[in-house]
Amino acid sequence: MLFNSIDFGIFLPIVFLLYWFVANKNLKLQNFLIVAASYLFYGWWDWRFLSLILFSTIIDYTVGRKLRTEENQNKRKILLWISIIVNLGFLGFFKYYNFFLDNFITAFSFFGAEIKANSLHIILPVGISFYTFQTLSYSIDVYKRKLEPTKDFIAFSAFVCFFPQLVAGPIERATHLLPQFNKKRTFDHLKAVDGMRQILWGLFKKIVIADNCAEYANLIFNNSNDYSGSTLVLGALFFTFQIYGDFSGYSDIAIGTSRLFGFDLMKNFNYPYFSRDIAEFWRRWHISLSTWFRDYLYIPLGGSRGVTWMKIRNTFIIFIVSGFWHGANWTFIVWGTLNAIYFLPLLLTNNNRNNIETVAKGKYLPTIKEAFLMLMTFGLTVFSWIFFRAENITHAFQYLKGIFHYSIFSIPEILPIPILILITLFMSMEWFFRDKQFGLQFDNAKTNKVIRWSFYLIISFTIAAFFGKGSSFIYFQF
Amino acid sequence: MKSFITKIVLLFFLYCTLSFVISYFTPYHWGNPWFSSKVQFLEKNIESECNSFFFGSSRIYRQIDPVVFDSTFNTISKEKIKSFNLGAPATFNPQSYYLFEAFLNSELSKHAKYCFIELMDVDLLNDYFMHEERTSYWQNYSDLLFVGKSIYSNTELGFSKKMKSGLNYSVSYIENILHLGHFGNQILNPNYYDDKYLGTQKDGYFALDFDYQTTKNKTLKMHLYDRKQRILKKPELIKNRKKDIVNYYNNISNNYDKINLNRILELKQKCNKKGIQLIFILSPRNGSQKLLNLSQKIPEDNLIDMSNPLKNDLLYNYENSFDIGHLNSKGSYLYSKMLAIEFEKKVQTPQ
Repeated sequence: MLFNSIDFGIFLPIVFLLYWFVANKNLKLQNFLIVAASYLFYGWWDWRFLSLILFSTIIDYTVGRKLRTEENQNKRKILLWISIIVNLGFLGFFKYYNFFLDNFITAFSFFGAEIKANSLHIILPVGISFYTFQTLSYSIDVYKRKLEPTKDFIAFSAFVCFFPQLVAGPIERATHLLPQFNKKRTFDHLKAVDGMRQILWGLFKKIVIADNCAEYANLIFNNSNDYSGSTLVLGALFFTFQIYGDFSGYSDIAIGTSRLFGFDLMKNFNYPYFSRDIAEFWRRWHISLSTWFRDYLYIPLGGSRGVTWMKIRNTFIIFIVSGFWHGANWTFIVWGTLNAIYFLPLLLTNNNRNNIETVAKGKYLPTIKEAFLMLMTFGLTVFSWIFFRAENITHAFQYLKGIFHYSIFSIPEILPIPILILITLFMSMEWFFRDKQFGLQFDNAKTNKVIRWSFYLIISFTIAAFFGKGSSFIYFQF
Repeated sequence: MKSFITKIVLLFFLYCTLSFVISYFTPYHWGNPWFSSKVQFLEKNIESECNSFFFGSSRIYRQIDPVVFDSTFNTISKEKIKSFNLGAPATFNPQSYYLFEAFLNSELSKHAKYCFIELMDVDLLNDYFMHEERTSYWQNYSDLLFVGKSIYSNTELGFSKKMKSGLNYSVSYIENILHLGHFGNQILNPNYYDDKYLGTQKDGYFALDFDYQTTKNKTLKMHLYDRKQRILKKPELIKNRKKDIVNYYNNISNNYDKINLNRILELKQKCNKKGIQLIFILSPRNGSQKLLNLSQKIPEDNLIDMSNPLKNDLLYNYENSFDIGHLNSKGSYLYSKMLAIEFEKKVQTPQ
């Protein structure tokens, strides 16, 4: 089920009313309702893949229970590896099987050997990269004794398949989300109102910004040979805003929906396009994935400790793995590598934590230096998104070749002024709210009610105007 | 909780009120850029004094050339007409009825003497057209009832198809009330309403091959190319359709859409009151057995049947075709001429 569909518009109020009016007195019933609703939500797309979620849930629940009682370190390790192999096995098969097979064949044919193997027609189960990482975090944390394994199978199932964040995150840590399923939830008016506002803002990002930018980004990327350098730059910019609107919009809707049910999910985006360097960008972009890799890969590898070559190795590993997580294509690996190259100078000169605070905090405008740094970081990001969006490496280089051409100084063939105005208004709103949780989080005490409600209505009508294309979220495929 | 739900209801109420205000101030045709551009043109050129208007889908828009139609008719008749083609692509029944009825209530109908509507089955609204502005902008309660009754009484449709169709219409109706998916195109596209829809002679006719040759829209060009290629690769497709329609004529029965017929008769009455002769056109290559059965129930003065291949063989020739369901400009020239001759016979018949 898509968040931006009528189906979800009917589904959400029904589950909300059942949750607070029918199941409100019984925690187990509330959790059961969440599991049932989540399975319906996921099964709406393809019910067959529910078995994968159920299987992962049973494996990780059982591993968790066994880890609790098992004292023998070797056996504990085996249990952890069972969880890792099952989860990553599913992910590897559904997401990476054809990629490895194709590259294997290409590598052999390079050396003159002919191998005949058929690629499989594999459908990628939506959200598999997300819930796999979430359940893995549970097994690893229980193994490390950071978390007491749960006895409650329903609560654990709810943690694995919680519908707001099941298919595209945020990837929650078991230590943060699981305990919330064991606590009694009471309806919090302010939290629910904030949740609704965040849903509204998320829908605006997805339907108004991302979907409209997608139309032009797709047009330009799919016909990149036909356009001038300036149009190609515009295409890359459109994709930059498409992917941000799409993914952060999804996260906002997920977090907002969770709040309606009394849950707090972690923040996933923190105005990344206002970053002053790449390190700051990565602290603000897809935070739940970045911190997952930091906690379960980067730090176990040694992190930024140790000799220089170790730092370089770890940085490349984390960025390349992060790129590969996004998809089985060399373009994502190059995208990850590129970001590692951006990041390394900051790490090696100890400048990777220079910009922790919100930019121009308490001021309306940034300083010239800050504006310059933001522009530079934004430019580097746009450049790397070209690899992320391109069909393959050759396409990416052709696209870049098209940009670095004298036609970059011409007027773009495609110049949709209304969309550029929408993007400008959107980024202005984001700038205005940059020290808040999301872009429509009014301070009720400071803002006049009429102004707030006018904003809600304007945003609602704008969403309605562009509603109906029903395109799915980019991150569903990752 | 009470306060939260009150706020949600209040926001929804304000939203609906504003939606209602917006609906009140928007013209009835706003979501059909072809029809709307044509009406806007006519309103600006009211002195042109067109007295005959064509309504319907692409089978009207792409096939009836008012210049040819008028000159043929005016040569053979004492009556003088000046016609305008208000057809628009994918404007099916009951959208065509909705537009026509609203047109009758507008200033433009003052000069109207003859109106032509393409005879069509009630559209079942398949998923392809769902969530489109053009599908929902015209939806209203009385047409929802009309469609519901027609679908319910259709004995050839299975239960699931009836449900699906009914659901699609209901969803589109709600989308119209809440203006979901509305006005986005107008905001983004400055050429949403465009004089190009009026055709080369500014009379509302635009042959498919002219559009194919002149369009700058790559997607449209590709789409039209594919349609042309289908009959080029398989010319027997047209022959098969011709054969099917001949079979329909051999199997005319009493199985027709009575709800549609009632609506047709109501429209006829409304036109009579305004002194307008209403004529339904059964287009060439169009139709189903049921539609042909229905056409037999329409009073003779109100129907021109151009569908019969045995009488209008030229309209089924490959050389006159653009695609399987449409004529090219050469075919449209012939068709407009033949239609005018048939029309002249109807005008002569006393009302």
